[in-house]
Amino acid sequence: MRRLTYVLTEIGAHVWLKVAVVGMTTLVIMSSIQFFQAYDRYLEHTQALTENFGSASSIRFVDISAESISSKDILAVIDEGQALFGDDVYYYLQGGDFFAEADAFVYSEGPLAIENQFGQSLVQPQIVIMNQALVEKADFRLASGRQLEARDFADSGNGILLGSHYRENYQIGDDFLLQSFVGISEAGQVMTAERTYQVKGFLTEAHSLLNFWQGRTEEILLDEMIVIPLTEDLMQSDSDNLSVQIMGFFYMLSAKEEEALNYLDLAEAVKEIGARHGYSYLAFSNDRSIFDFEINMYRSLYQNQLFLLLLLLVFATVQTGMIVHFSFKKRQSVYAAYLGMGSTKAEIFTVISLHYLLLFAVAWALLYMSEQLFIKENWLSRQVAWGTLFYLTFYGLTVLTILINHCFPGRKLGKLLQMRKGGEVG
Amino acid sequence: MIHLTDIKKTYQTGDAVFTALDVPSFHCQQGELLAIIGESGSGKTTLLRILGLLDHCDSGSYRIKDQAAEMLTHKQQAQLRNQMIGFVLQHFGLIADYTVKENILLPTTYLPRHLRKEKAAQLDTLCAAMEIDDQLKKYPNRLSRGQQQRVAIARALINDPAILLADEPTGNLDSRNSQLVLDILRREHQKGKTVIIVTHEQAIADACDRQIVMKDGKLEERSVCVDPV
Repeated sequence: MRRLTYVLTEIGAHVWLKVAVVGMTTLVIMSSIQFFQAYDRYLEHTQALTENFGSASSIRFVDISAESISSKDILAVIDEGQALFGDDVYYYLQGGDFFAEADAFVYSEGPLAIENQFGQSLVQPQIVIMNQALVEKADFRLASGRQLEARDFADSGNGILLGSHYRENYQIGDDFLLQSFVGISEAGQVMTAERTYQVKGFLTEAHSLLNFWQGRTEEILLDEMIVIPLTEDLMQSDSDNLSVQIMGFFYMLSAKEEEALNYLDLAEAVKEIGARHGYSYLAFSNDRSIFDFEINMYRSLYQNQLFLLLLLLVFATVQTGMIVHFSFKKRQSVYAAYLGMGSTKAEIFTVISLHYLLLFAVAWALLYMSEQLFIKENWLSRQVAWGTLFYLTFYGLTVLTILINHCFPGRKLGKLLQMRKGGEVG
Repeated sequence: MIHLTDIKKTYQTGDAVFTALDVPSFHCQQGELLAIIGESGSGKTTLLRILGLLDHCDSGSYRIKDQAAEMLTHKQQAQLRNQMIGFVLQHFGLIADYTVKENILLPTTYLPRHLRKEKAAQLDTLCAAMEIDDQLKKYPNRLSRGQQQRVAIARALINDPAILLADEPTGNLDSRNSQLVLDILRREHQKGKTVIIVTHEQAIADACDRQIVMKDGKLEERSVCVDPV
């Protein structure tokens, strides 16, 4: 109790200096977290790009000739693609033709709502439909529940994963109702059929997927996403859908080097598949210059953050050091009184150290609140932990060095730094 | 009660070694009123800090109440300071964030719980004796210097220590308040406490039973002065 009172009394002394410490500490922790965030992103994107670099990483079939829409057999295209590339072909459909009732809790793509044959108002949720190979490659981090398994990709599969934001409204095992697009009636009415899915797992917060796109890495944040397995029956029903027919789908090729090198040979075969089924196709190659540009961009982002962080570190270390030093000098008579009354030097040292640690905690809490209210960046917990620990090390060393020098001047470190003749308490 | 033998204390600044204290022998009996007088930098505060267990010497032995100080742990030394020694400092050492009452009761917070109430019960009597009983709710910065020093003395006395160490207790006071403080210290001496006053004012030293002059860290006994009372 006495020590707690002392710690609080310390905070109350020279309050404007303490405000300055808290302000600067908040700023440096934020900068430190942002540096680790930028560095993390650089590492992640560099690794992903390097692993996936080849002469081509994705192919998209596109049909722009409206009259040939009905003639395409998407299942056959997928089968032929699979025969060409093997099992490592990744493909996904973003959005697909799924809707949800407007009054259900979903994160929609936009405010636009349409009405179906039952008079239900529908919105389009954020959905990504993935084949099994891609789900396995993605290796989702789950906050709870289980991963999608082979049985979820079978005909009868109804398992889905939900982004972290859905955790407030759904639980594992809950039914999740969606409306799949069936067609448009002669009267121009949108026709849908109800599909019931079951929630199997929730993704961790700030989870994202890297989508390779023309030598770039596009980050798809999954917090508000519904991940649906591309089942056989879904392929069947979707294969007639208008948007799938027109927009086609992606083939994301394997990162295997030999396959990437053989792409030029495969390109003709891909072209033939497209031509057989009435598709044009676009091959998005990983151009070296785009690849380098992407890597350099992420590198310069983290280097800029590092430069800013180092600048702040120098300033903050000097500022904190001076404040710790002058506060101690100003409070020396108080510490002398504590010592005379029955404290030990170790207790006084602990009290002052704890009070600076508490200031650090206040700064961290302030940053956390600001992040929630204003900054709203998707900081991962490891980035927050590293960023906090990084500055805590500097902050702690600064504070402890000066306090040890003042409180224990007889110690080796104290002797090294001691400039005065001694005589006063501390 | 207090025995110093072959005490040495040095400070090092760069290559130069400065001897702050070199005392072959020093004794102080229980109930003495002793003045340590000397110029600034003569080592009197260093001596007082060693006597008060606030600092340690480089060599020699210090016995207080038949205990060897160097054999005590930091915690035991702190306990002795709390229960046996009262400090009165030149700059009072009052904590601005606490009221007068809280300041005076601070040393009792180190005592075992059952003793705290007992000591706190003496607060009114003590404050009345110091003529600060109407100032208890005020903060130190609202008091005059004389009142602040009396609060500091009350705080030094709240645990009823056997030894009172005063470092320039009148250094910041006018003559009237100086006399008031001196009277309080003498009164405590008459109650049987050992009072050691460090001062550079001859008039204060003259009011003590025994004077010791310090020069360049060395002691020199002076003849017993006449009791001015």
